[in-house]
Amino acid sequence: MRAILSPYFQLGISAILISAAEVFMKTGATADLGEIDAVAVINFAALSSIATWIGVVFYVLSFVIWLHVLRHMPLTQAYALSSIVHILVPVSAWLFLHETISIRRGMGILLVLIGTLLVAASSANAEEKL
Amino acid sequence: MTLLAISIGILCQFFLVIGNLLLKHAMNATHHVPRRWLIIASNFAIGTGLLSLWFFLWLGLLRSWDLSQIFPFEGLSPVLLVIGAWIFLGERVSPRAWAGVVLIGVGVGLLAQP
Repeated sequence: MRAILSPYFQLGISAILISAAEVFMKTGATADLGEIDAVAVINFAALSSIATWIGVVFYVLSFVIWLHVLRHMPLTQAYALSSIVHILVPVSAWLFLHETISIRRGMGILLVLIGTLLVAASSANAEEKL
Repeated sequence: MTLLAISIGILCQFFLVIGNLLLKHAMNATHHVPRRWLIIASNFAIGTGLLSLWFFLWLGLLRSWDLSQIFPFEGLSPVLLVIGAWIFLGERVSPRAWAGVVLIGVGVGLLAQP
């Protein structure tokens, strides 16, 4: 029970929910490609897929947990730890959507991850003041 | 990626960041007495509108591009926050944060290439 209440544990669950949400939204966004313009900028058609809605529910759940985490953890630390989504989401895309991650894409992902860790303290401060 | 997709990827992060900030302001304003309902309502409406726009544009990007290619664009959100605070509030940006901004920029640049 104590483990479940730990903000670190909750942050991990929140990150996993975001990864699941993105995988479901990707699935919903690419469903029923047949008659729909494949280059449509605004994708209303995705709403006809149940996967999109599951993604939305997961996103909302992750947000609720995130708000809860913020009551028990400084924003700076929460921002730094939440950088883990930049690993979890691409790994989920590789695992569940069978996306190919080239060396260059992997490098890009890694740079973004390190960058978000470095910028976490400043962006948390900025978020509080803006 | 095409120039259009890259622009939408970046625009999405503007909508996400500004939408979130407006909702935060709307929520904070409900704790202040007297409550300025017009400001609360307009912040809430514009914030929700921007987040909806983000959502549908994001789904549009996901239709054509890999998730592992699009998602790192989310790394631009903290960059926009830091640069926003620097421009509008004159906040000092630490060398460490600048290094992070550069790395995220280069990382997204690598992903955006065709």
